[in-house]
This record gives sequence, structure tokens and C-alpha cells, in this order.
Amino acid sequence: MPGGLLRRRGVALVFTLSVGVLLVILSLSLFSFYSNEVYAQGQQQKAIQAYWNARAGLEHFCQERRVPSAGVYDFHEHGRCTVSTQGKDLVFEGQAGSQKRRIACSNVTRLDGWRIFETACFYAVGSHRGLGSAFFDGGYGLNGHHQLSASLSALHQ
Amino acid sequence: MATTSYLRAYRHCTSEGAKLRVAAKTLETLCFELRSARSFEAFPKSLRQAPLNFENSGRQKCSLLLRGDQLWLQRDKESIRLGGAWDVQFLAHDGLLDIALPMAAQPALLTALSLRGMRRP
Repeated sequence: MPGGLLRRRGVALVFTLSVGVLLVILSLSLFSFYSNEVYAQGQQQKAIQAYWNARAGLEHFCQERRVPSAGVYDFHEHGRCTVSTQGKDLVFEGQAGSQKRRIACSNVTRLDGWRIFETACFYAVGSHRGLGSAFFDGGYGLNGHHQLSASLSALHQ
Repeated sequence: MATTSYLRAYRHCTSEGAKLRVAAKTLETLCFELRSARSFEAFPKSLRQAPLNFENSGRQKCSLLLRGDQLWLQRDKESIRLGGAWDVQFLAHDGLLDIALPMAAQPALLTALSLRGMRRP
């Protein structure tokens, strides 16, 4: 076989292999990007559900006026909310999957009393993208109706 | 072809994320409105079945209902759009109201609301 033909075949083989390798790298990169997006989307859903679990825990506490004996509200497949005290603060930590979000109620004067929230509740920051901080104003009006307004600034964007 | 399918998948993910944030916002607004309630007539299992009627602290008759994929609050004669929602499901138990916001391609968002101080059926 003449040397020129062999060289051309070699160049063609190298070119084909290079293109193949490039296509494989491109496919792997795109798959990796896609996996990241899917993962981030799942984590975002869990982060938002964790926040709502913390809210649900707070509402359970408002209804029952006592911390559960095990310190946990179980929401089954949706996650759970653990309650703990830090000084005068009462911390509700919602959990869904690996995501956790906390609502800290400050100045909780009497856990078993009628007037629970002295001034305000503060929601600690969420670290996941798309979630920022939110602020609660909590209290009980003169008519005894539960009044708790909340705004979640990052979600409202 | 790979790039096109990636872009399509990326658009799907971002649109699902946007829908999730809209649902969270709707749930936030819904909870805010329900907190103003002083009495409920009945709790339907799903807003697709029947509207949720209640009287708010200003003694106004309110009704939560779905029109298409939008959640509306009818208060006296005015209608207020609360946000996008395919359905809202309720379950009252032990003085709490479980609220679920089902979503098409994702798990439902679930929370609870204390009914303390509210007259209920």
C-alpha cells in the first residue's frame, strides 16, 4: 500500500476519533448541566416545603399552646418540624429531605400562657437560591383572634 | 440535537421552578386571607368541588373559588385574584386546617393553619 494513502487514512482516523471524543465530552457536559438543573429544581421544591413545614409547626404550636413532648411535629412524607428553645427564643426548624428552614420566635414570654408572642417572630434566612429572608409580625389582638401576618419577600419577586 | 434537548429540558426546569414560586406565593396570600376569617360555613375537600365560604373579621362574606387555573377571593361585591392554582385541598382536624396546593409535575405544597378563635362547622 502506498505511504500517502496510509497517511491519509491515519489522518482520517485521528480526525474521526477526535470528533467522537468531542461529541462524547459535549454530551457528558450537557447531561451534567441537565442533572444539576434537575437537582437544583428538586432542592428548591424541598426548600420551599421545609419553609412551609416550619410554618405548619408554628401553627400547631399556636393551636396547642405547648411544645410537643418529643419536640417534633411529623408531617409524614412531607417532612417534619422540630421545635427547640434558644434562650427566650422558640425555634421551629422545618425539614424536607436535606433542606432545612428555620423560624425563630423571639421574646416568647410564657410558653403555656395565652399571650405567647410578645413582639415579633423573625424568620431566619434561607440559603438556597431564590429564597431570601422573610419577616413575621406576630401577636394576639384584643378579641383573642389569632393574628399572624407574614411576608416572604424573596418568593414575591 | 443534544443541545436542543438540553435547552428544552432547561426551559422545562426553569418553568417548573417559576410555577413552584408562583404556587408558594399563592399559598402565602391564601393563608394571609384565611387568617382574617372569624367563622367558616364548611370546609370543602377541594376547591374544585365547592368554594370555601367564610366571614372575615370585618364581618364581610368572603368566598374562595377557582376560575380556570386562578384562585379568586370574592369579598362582598369585589373579586380579588390571589394567584395561580390548579386546585386547593382542605382537611380540618384537631383545630387545624391542613392546606394542600397540588401541582402538575411536582409534589403538592402542604401547610397548616391554626383555627383558634375562628368559629367552624
